[in-house]
Amino acid sequence: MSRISNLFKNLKEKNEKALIGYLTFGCPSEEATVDLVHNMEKNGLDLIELGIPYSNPVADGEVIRQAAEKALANGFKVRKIFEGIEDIRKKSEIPIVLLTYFNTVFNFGVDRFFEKMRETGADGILIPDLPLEERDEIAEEAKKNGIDIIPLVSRVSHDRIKNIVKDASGFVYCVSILGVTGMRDDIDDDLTDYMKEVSDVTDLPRAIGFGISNGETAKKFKDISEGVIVGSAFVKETLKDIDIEDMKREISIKVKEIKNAINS
Amino acid sequence: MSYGKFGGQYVPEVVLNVLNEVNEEYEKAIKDEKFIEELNYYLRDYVGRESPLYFAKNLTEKLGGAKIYLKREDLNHTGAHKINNALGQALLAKRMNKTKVIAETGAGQHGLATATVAAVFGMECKIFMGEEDVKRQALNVFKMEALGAEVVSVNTGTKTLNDAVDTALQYWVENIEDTFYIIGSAVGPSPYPEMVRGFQSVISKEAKKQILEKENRLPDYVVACVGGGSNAIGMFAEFLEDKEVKLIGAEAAGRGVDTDQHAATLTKGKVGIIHGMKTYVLQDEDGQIMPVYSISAGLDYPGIGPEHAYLKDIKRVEYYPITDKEAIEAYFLLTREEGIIPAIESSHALAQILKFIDKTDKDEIIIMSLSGRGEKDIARLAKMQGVDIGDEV
Repeated sequence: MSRISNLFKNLKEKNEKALIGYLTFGCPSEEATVDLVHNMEKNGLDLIELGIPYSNPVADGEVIRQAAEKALANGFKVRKIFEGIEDIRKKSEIPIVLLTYFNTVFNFGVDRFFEKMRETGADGILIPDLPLEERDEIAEEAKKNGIDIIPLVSRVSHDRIKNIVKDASGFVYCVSILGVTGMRDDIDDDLTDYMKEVSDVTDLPRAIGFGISNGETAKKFKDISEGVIVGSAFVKETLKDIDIEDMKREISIKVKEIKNAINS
Repeated sequence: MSYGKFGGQYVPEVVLNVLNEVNEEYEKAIKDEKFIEELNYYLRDYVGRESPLYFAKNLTEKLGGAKIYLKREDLNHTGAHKINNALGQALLAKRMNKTKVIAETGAGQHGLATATVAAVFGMECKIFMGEEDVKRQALNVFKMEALGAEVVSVNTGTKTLNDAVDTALQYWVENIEDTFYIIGSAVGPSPYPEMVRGFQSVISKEAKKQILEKENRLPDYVVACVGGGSNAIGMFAEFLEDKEVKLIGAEAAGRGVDTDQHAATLTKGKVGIIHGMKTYVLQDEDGQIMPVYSISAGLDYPGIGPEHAYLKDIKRVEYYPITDKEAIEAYFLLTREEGIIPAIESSHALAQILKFIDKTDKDEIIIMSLSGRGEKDIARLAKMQGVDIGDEV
């Protein structure tokens, strides 16, 4: 069983929900990202998504865009993400999902990319610009290397959900809003029907992401999902001109707040 | 639909439904006589089609080779071929009961065309334009605003067309219920490349008919400039099956393909993904999209329509890079010889003709797509020659 499936199985037994965090790799530096992941895990993070900085991040809002720009300006190269995963794995078994745009994988070579993922110990991949229609590009290599393809569904997916989750593994990334990543004060909409549409067609765990930045919002989703995904609220701290210890402290407060909210 | 290995729909899931909807409606529309009738009405009475196929006698005599015909898209309403497509997509938007249209624009020509059709159809219109381009194209910004459009300045990334496309796509995702995205070139996820080709192929339909009337035979060469590739695909479409017609595209080499300041996607790019399609892309060794440069704001784009990528690979069309300098020479040549000021984009096509005209015979025929008029470029060209005539006009 993959680390991801294992995680959700264990949480289910404890009747707990997963807190999934996102960091843009290399912001503010590669070492800092690794350090932050360990610290977040210590404070209750269940799964880490590492974003690969990209020049055209079409699904990302302002905060994650800026983080990518910063990482690229610092000289980020794709091979460094694999060095980073190796570093994390020296001390941690936290499930790691790579969030990347497809050109990065395609340019690196799909077969080489997935081999590297397996070799370094990554567990899943999430490609926002690779919808069901184009998934064949990676399906075989992902399977061969035991990497979960995390499918994204949206609130307008409806009839498509069934096919999207078929042959997927790990968990289903349920996009909460029509829009890009980024912090919202709150998400007012009732997602109950939407989340049921997903659970009607799959047994995979469902995690809700985009726009969740605090415990209050996260709490609203704990009963209709198996986990929440928080990105920009963490990344925002990594953009601040503060030292790494302060960053760790700020982020750990956030991690604890949200983790408590979904498990109280 | 895809073109060999090129094309596709590399976009977030949330866009797929609406792309399928657009595709379905487009397929229905082009088979619907009423839609075609309405489109043709506006093309004729509003755009001013058909556009002339003009025999450039002076230029032909001066160069001493093949007869050169110019397909006068510059005479269209708003001054370029862009309106053919903006009009078609706006009518499709209307048909889908969308009340708002959005578009990306680089130089402002497509933005202008979209704002124009939005004005005549009473639709709300937002134009996404890189902050750099907003500064460089103040006159077009003012025109679009006068037409009732809101111009949104995009300040992410390189602050140019590349980023304007992404931002427009993001906005579309957030407003998918009532908004239609009018993409301006033969790029983007399917069905856009085929749709843009469909609306632009009026150029070659007319040109083919016209040359048969005038010369009673097909041309030997058809030449067009390529950025995203909409005027080129429109100019080539009807000739693709005529194997005896040589098709040639001219892309922007900026300061030279051996510098890092060019937009020669087909010459220097490699296969990748940009703006929802698989095609040739100017990218660095790590797969990051590279900044591009050309004197022509309409050609400085790091991707290329997927059908052009395919046509290059199967060797049906040949594509060559043209530098700024070569384009400028062609710009002034046509102005001087024929009294026609060509867009600096279209000047790239003429510059390519100048490269092979010596090898042609007098009884051969070339058709060139004169995709737009060049008044918009005058101020910048003047400045380059050390003459300051004020802001861009």
